[in-house]
Amino acid sequence: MRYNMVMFLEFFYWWYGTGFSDTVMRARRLVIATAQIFSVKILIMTLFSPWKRIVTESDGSLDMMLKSIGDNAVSRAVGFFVRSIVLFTGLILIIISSVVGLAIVVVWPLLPIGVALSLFMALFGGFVK
Amino acid sequence: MTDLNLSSMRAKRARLGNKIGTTGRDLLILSIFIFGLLTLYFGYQNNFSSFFYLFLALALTSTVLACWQQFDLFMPAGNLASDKLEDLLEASLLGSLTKPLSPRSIWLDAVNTKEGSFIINRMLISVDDIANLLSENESESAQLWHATDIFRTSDKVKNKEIHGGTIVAVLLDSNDSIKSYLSELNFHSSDITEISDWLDRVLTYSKLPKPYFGGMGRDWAMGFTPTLNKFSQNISQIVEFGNVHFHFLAQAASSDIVVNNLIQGSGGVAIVGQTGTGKTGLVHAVAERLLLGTDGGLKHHQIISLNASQLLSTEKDNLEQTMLQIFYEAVQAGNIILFLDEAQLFFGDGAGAFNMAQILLPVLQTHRVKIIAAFTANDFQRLKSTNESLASNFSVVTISEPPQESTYKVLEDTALTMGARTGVLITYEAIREAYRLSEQYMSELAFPGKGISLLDQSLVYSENKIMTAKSVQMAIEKTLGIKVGAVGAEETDVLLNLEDKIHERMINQTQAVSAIAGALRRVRAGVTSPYRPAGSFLFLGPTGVGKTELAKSLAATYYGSSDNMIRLDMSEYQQASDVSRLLGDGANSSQSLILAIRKQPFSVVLLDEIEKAHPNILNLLLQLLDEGMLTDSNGRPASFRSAIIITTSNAGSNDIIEKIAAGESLSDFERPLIDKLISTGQFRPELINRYDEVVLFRPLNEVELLQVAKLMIDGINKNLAKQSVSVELTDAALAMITKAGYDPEFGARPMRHIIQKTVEDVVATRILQGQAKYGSVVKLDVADIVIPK
Repeated sequence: MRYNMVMFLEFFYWWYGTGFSDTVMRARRLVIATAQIFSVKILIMTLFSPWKRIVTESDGSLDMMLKSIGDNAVSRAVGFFVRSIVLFTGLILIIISSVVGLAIVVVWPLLPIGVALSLFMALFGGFVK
Repeated sequence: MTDLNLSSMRAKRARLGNKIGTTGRDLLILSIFIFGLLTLYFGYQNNFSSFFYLFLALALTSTVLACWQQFDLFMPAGNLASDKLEDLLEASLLGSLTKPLSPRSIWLDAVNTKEGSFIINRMLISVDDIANLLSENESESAQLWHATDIFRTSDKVKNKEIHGGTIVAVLLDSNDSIKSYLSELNFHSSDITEISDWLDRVLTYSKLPKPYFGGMGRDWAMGFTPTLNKFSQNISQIVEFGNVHFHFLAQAASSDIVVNNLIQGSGGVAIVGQTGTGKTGLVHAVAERLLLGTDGGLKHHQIISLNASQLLSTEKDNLEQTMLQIFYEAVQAGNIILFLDEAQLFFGDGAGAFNMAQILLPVLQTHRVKIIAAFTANDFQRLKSTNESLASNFSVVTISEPPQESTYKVLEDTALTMGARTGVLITYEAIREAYRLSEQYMSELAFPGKGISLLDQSLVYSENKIMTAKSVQMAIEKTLGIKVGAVGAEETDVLLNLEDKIHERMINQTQAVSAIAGALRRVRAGVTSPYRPAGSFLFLGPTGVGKTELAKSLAATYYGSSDNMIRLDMSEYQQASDVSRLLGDGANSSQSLILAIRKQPFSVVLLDEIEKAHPNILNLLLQLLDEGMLTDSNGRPASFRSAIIITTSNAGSNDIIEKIAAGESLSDFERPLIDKLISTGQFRPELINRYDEVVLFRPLNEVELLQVAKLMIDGINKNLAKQSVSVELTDAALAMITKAGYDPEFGARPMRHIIQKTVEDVVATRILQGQAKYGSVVKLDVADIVIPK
């Protein structure tokens, strides 16, 4: 009996101590991993860079200058478009993982309380609507 | 350190975690789903009855218990700062220990942990055999814990937790019975320490976080390289997707120098080192490091290896244009570092090479593309002499062969990746044998490359997916055609009766035969130094007494065929300039000793008439006898460590003939004769002293000459056996031939010629005339013999 009691206390000690801090760490890692998979930092820093460095170099003539400005603008636009889509998708997934992570962090301390409450309700408070 | 308290809370939690196990955890997860679905069902029915709350409570309880099991009970955190055993023991081991605790019970629990089984599997030893040698006395466990504490706190061990591997290592070194048992299996304390160190590294690697290489958008700001892709291999991709990590790098310091040179230097780095030292491995490690993005200037750069042979075979007519396009793409891409492996192929040197020096020079001078080129020292030296300006544009990073300790680590790590790739368990014994045999027999390559290469070759000889020392021995035996494994019964018989075997081809010269046979037995038993030739002898004696025949017999007996003999007449090497002919790599000379030994490392090397060679060649012989190695004209080593070196000389022949004629025995005048040869300047003492043995050959007497003649007739009969014809000589005819075949100056050397003319010619004529038919015997008497003048 004493063993069970001590083990029970050990559980609570862990759940609200190391268990909780580890959960916060895991949630944080989830968000960081999502951002890393989508190369968020790199994509933001190169958002307006030409797509795959496809550029037209000007030879100084007006025609070529205009052509290169046009071509390079298209290349940058393609780059911006592709990166924006990936960034947008990445940001949505980051938001989702943040919400999930936050939810886990919030729910974690409530879980044992939830067990106690639902048990209490099952035993004493069950009602039919 | 206090005794282990199995009543501590951590021990109890670990035991509970072990009891629940993965099965219990999986059942809890299943419960979450079932109870969760039932909760939803009752909730969906809009019926928040007691059942709804009951199933909710059960689902939440399962969730809480599953989380507790997964994140805590499975691995209750220890405290490495503590001095209590229950805080220091690894969780799964702690959870499996139960009273009474004796060395034997602790052993049986420790070997069942993944760390303990790592050591057992790599050593391939019997758990029960060791258990039977361990005490069941509870009081002895205190000694074990004490020894464990000393072991884990030693500087060598990085992982300070006490896991199953720690216990297994300590117990394997705990008593004399176990040490003696392991000694019979050829394991010693140092091996256990090495395997523990290996395990320690594996545990450290497993705790490293998964590397982040930049994610999916990393290369979108970099240019396309279609032509380059066609003729190259992306090393960075191999590292990124091939799960090839270089945790332990023998050339770690060189990695810093390469990266710094790429960032700050001219952009061209030449990695110079012997084949096998790890030049390509170093480039892979640099590729991983750049992908990790820790080196600002080269963050996320990729290393691409150009394939010289593919370029040459497919773009032969358009090579220059293709190369220019490749460099253009590399410049445009902005994140490419080109790697030229075996770079001499790109600079017009060697087979399948082409010269791109003229294209590369401006690229290097303008620093537009970063290039890593791998050279051997000689190849780089040659580039320097042929194209100084190109060579000077490279920053040189020289790497040398790592020490044994580092090589073992590289081989152990390679064994893990090789094992993961092929499913073969590579034992520690196999690694140790690969090191030993590659060191002895693969002298032209450097470590760790040659060890890795031998392990790779041994994979096919693994039995039941386990590679042992025997697998490695078989690999080297099949590749090189020599015996390196344990001596079998048949071979033992040959070795113990070598004298008789050699005498089947040799008449008398008992002293010489016995000296040679003793040397062979020493080599095969592993008594001799592996860093010298297998044997070295100076044969002194008159012409035609059997010196060459003994060398041939030796080649046939020890190396399997008398063809395994490299024979050079040293009278052809009397000039100082002949040294280069002897040491040539074979490109310009077919008389190169180096070329011959590379083709046939397991040979008898017979150097005839050594006293006639130029003194410079004798100096080389000193080095050869001392180290078992010579270096060719290109600076590449050639090993003679598997060869038996025999040099012959007629010096002192007259003395030998006179003394034998006077009735003295060889042993009586052997030492005085050698002293005389030294004092008269015919041989230098340092040369004489380097031989394993100086062997005197005496002139053959009449009886022995008769036996030689008989041996030769036997040889003819062997050849005639295919036609079922044989030849027989009367005693008088044989005596006549023997007398004619002996020359005071040339010994029995004319004998073969005489027998050819007197016997072979006659038999050949009779066969052609139809007189000697199938199954007949050609009998020759004195009347049939005509001695040529």
